Amino acid sequence: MTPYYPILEAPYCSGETTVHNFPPNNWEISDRKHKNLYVSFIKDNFWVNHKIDEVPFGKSKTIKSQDLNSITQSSSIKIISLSPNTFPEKSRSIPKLIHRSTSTPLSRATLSLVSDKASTCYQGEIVPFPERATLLSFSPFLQFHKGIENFLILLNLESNAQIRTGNLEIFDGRNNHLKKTVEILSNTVNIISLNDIDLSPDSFPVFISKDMASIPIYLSSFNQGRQISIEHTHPPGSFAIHGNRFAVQREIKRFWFERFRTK
Amino acid sequence: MNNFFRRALKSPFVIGQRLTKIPRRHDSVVSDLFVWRADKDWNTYFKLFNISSFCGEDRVETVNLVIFDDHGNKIYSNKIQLNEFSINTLNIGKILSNLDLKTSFGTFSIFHSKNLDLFKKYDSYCAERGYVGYSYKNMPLKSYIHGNLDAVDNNLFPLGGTSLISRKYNLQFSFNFKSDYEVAIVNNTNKPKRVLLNINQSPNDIKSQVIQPLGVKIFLLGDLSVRENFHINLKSRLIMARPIVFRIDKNDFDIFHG
Repeated sequence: MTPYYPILEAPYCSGETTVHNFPPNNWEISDRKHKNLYVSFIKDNFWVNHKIDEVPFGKSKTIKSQDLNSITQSSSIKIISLSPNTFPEKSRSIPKLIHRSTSTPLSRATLSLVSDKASTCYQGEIVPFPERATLLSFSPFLQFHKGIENFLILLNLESNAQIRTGNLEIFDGRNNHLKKTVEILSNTVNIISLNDIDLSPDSFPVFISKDMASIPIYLSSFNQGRQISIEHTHPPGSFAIHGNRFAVQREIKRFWFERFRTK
Repeated sequence: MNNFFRRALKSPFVIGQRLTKIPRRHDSVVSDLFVWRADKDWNTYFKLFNISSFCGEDRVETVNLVIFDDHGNKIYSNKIQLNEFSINTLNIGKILSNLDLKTSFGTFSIFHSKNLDLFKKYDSYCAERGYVGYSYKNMPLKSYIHGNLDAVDNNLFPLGGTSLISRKYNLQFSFNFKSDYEVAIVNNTNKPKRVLLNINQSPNDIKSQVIQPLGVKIFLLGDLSVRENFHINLKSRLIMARPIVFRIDKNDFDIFHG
């Protein structure tokens, strides 16, 4: 499986994605080729695939969100790809990456958020989600202190060049109260403020979408970006190792969806 | 080179070498080997879920917290009761404050009380891979990272596989030479492991540490002479020497899995 790399977006910050044209290990077969660097975004129900550079083997390259302003003003997610092959200029589905890549781990990029005073990052990637997929996330990352704001950043990537709408529901896991419902979009970096739903250090917020899967990234920001921190949660199947973790995850999701009796 | 020969060349890295061994007992539970730091600058927190209630089984759950020093010696253990549908925060520095420690960093694991019926049904094992927060000096935000290695079972048997031959883990990160970095590696195998940290493939910039089973070492990169952004790789007989990276600047810090 060869992954794509999103450019993050968040309040008080801009996104930077650093891709690396070398494998994370020396024991799996991977291509050692010069690669084309593409950004893909959605316009008029097509993926537009724009070549922005080339990256020699062994080198890294940083793409800043402001670098893309002259290429697109699209509100869709911007996806960075490294490919030895040439992409079509437009496509109905996101171009498949057909070169060899590693699996332990997947080849990853450095996904950063940068403010005037601080930066934060994680090593990540994204592969397209199926359209019939769901989200369940328990967040332990919310931070509470004067001047701190918390945001949820939901990254969704689906292959088809369409932007669907769906709902995200935020519950208090202790008493099943629905705290907030938010409309979210596929193929988009959804930014959701968590500052207006009366959460406290004792809260147990649970985030559910039955309409689409996403990577849930939690951002805490102090004094409008003077310090920032991000991390994503694991999918619920990560409570287990070995065996059929997908079946475990399916049953945990079923338990929570029934518990909250979402639509 | 055709595919057959490429695969043949890679076979010494693959045959009989699992990233994570299967625990010996079907009722085992598993934990990551998390890194703690506790001194005048650093503290460590852990966000602990009641996994049993999260999976619709027992409402109240007891977990066993086991803390090791940097050499992998057990220095503390205690049972903690978790309420239904709760997220507890453990303050590791506070827990360790009454111990006469000779180190300011080490590892810890969390073992849930039992392997749940749900996991057994699918031949799986309950795993604590949860979330560690680090505070630095008086900065208001903690930096969180998720667990990354299914490292040890509740009999303290390391589950990490050992490679037949040394292998390289190339960190896909471009280090900024203007920042200070510290790179932590844990040993989740049952034998000591030597880890070589190499900068920009240069023979002159190699650092070496021997890490005991269940222990951790921290490579300090603040003394490097490089004056441009650089890459590192880690060579060892660990199957995947994926480190934790601490970036420290004057008014900012960040922590992430490499």
